[in-house]
Amino acid sequence: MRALAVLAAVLLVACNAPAAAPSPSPSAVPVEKVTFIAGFKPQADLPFVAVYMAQAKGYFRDQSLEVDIQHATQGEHVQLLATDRAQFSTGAAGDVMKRVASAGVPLVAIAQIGQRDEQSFAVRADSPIRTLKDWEGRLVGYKTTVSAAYLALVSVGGVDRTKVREVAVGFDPRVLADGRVDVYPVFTANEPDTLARLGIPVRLFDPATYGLPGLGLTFMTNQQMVDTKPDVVTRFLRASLRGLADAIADRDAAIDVVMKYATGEDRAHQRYMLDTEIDAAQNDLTRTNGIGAMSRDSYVALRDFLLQYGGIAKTVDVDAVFTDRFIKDLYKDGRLVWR
Amino acid sequence: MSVAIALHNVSAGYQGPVLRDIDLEVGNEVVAVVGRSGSGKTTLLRLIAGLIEPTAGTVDLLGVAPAVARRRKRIGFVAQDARLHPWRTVRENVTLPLEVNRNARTNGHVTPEEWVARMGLSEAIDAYPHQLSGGMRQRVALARSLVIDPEVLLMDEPLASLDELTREDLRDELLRLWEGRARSVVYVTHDIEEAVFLADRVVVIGGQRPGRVRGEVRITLARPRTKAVRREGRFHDLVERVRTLLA
Amino acid sequence: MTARRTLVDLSVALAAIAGIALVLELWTRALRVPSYLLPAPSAVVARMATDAGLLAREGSITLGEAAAGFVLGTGIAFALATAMAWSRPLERTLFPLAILVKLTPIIAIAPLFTLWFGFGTAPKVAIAALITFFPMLVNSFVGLRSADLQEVAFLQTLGASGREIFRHLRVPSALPYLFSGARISLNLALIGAVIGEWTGADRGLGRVIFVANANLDLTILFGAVLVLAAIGIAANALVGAAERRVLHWHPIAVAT
Repeated sequence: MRALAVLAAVLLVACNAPAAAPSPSPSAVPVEKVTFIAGFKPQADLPFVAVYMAQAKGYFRDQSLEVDIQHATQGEHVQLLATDRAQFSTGAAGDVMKRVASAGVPLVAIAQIGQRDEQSFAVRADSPIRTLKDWEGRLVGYKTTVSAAYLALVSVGGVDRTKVREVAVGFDPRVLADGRVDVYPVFTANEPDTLARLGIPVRLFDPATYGLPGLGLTFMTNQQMVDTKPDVVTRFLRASLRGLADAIADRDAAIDVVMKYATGEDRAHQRYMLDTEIDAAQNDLTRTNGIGAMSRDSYVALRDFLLQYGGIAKTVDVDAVFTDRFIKDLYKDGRLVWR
Repeated sequence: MSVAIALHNVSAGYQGPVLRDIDLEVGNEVVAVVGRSGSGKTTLLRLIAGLIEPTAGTVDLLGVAPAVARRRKRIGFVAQDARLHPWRTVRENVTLPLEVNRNARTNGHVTPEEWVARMGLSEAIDAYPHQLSGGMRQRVALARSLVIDPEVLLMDEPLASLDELTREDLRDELLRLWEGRARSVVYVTHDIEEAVFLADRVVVIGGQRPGRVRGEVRITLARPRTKAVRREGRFHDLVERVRTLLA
Repeated sequence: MTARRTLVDLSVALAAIAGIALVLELWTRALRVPSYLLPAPSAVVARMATDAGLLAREGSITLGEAAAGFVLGTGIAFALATAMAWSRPLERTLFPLAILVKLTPIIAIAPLFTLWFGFGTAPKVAIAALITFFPMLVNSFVGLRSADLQEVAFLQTLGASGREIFRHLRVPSALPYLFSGARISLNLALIGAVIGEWTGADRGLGRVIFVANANLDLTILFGAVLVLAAIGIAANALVGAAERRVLHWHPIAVAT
């Protein structure tokens, strides 16, 4: 009997031993409470997944952070972040640039998760539209306004814009399914799968394949955090990127965690989203410098592109839009340094 | 004298009998119907107009069913609180009966304007009901019920909501109006003296529910009648006889 | 008397608005509130002046959609109310259906309308009509039924047909209710048109607000909202004036 008890005790201790690298002693650094507000509803967008995983695995706690995870419904995350009622959020690099350029909103991108444009244009797989020129005489939809990517594609493809009928379409992809538009703007990781599940497979016109500059989702914070609490920013990124690494290593486990937030969503669709975004998060830069790495050249190229095609009305200093000083220190030889 | 209104063995009621075994004939005369509140006086008028069906017995109006008499526009109707159409002027309210059911030919040689004049309301002919006093409104109600020159006139306590002096004036008015033309008038009132003053016969409805005809009193006072007749001994005798029937 | 009183009312309202605007102006300046959080009233007004043409054009488009929707919704509501006032079995059948319509959240239906009716003005008019429908149905029905029963009896003794009673008595009796319903429904129709524009439109104040929100351009957003409010107020004043003319005989109009 006693031997069994000892065995049980030993097993118990063994199971509870920390599996990964040693954690820092919590008493050394005071715990900082921060709010992370995801830019949209709970789903398997890569930065969201990073934060979900970090929370589930206790990485934030290890970094002396207490993170309250919120989700935006109508874009209020920008204002909350700007007023420091939230400290971290997500946003496409182009959107961050627009906010800073047009209204001087004090947002700062601190990690580039999506390394290419997250949007493309979908046509039904059975449609006769094969090249950009085929867009002439067709109905092309836009969601809020005509996007810079659209204008660039039109220019690159030599399309006569007067021959294209542009319609405002709202956010329901069924308009492509029932033929109300011929070309529909989509988030590459999202609607194509939704439409396929509706029985409407699609083909994509991806700006990246036409050599157009584009960047995807970032982690962003506000200028106040950058100036007054840089170590908190570092700790947040560190924990999130570790969560992200775990997600990439075990995608099923990652989706398990996502489903706890995204109740009612379709699991297979979430997996599609995750796979697509993981793919979009990796390129030569990240293979050398780690996921989230930022390139000033890319930001300049994006800025000039948006300026040329009316995505922003006036120019902006890219150094006001992003900083790579946090992400640079988190990786050594392409591997995340855990402290 | 031909019978204009004939009720034979009529019973009526909604959720229980209100009137039982009513026998009543009205010729070219004024018949006042008196009774306590709830004795079925209003039901009686609605029966005569054919607005409700009897549960037993027959109702004849000018020799035909009441519905036919209505279609022929032979019935005049005045209620206690005339709900004139507030969106119509006095002139337009009096003209309204001529605008509906145009198929029925009426005998009216008297124009609406003349009727308004007869009521002494010419100055107010373009006024709206809300600008008139209660007495004036009742005069308009009278005018509009008479404009189609009906052979049968049904009046449901038409003066009940007015003050005494106005009632006196309007009673004289009614007597004057009835003098001109052969008409059958059924006049419902709770005021015994008014009944005796105005009518040729007073029919008493009453008793426990359902109401029955308790009796009638023939009013032998001479016409034309003036206010002076109310001081005569005979007037009071007749009032007492009616009162006895009511008890 | 009425014109002078309207002028006084208007002045009081404007003074109140000016007071609030002044407080907000001082607030935003003193606290240096950034324009993407709360624009200073002066900035909003300046922007309205710069974009006056845009706001006027888009405003008239939204107004057109709302007006068309109001007329459509009211027409259907009145027709249905007539049927319901005519027959109690119809009333019992149709009323629950009307409540079903009322309880369906417009926000959920709006995208479906865009799917069914396309991207033109049709879905906006449909939504405005839908949102107008229930209040006008209830008001029409109650109004038609409010006809004095004694008067109905009076007309019946004259041998008037059901149609004549409807025309001469029920419809005029319903007018006060219809006007008070119109006050509510006109503004609802405006909101309906705006919501319709959010789910797929390239014109209209709703679209201006939508894009402004996406761009955090709050000055034009508030500008558009103010224009919408002005349209609503003007519409109400118009209904009020029409009501005073048509219902001059109504006790309430007489008293005020």
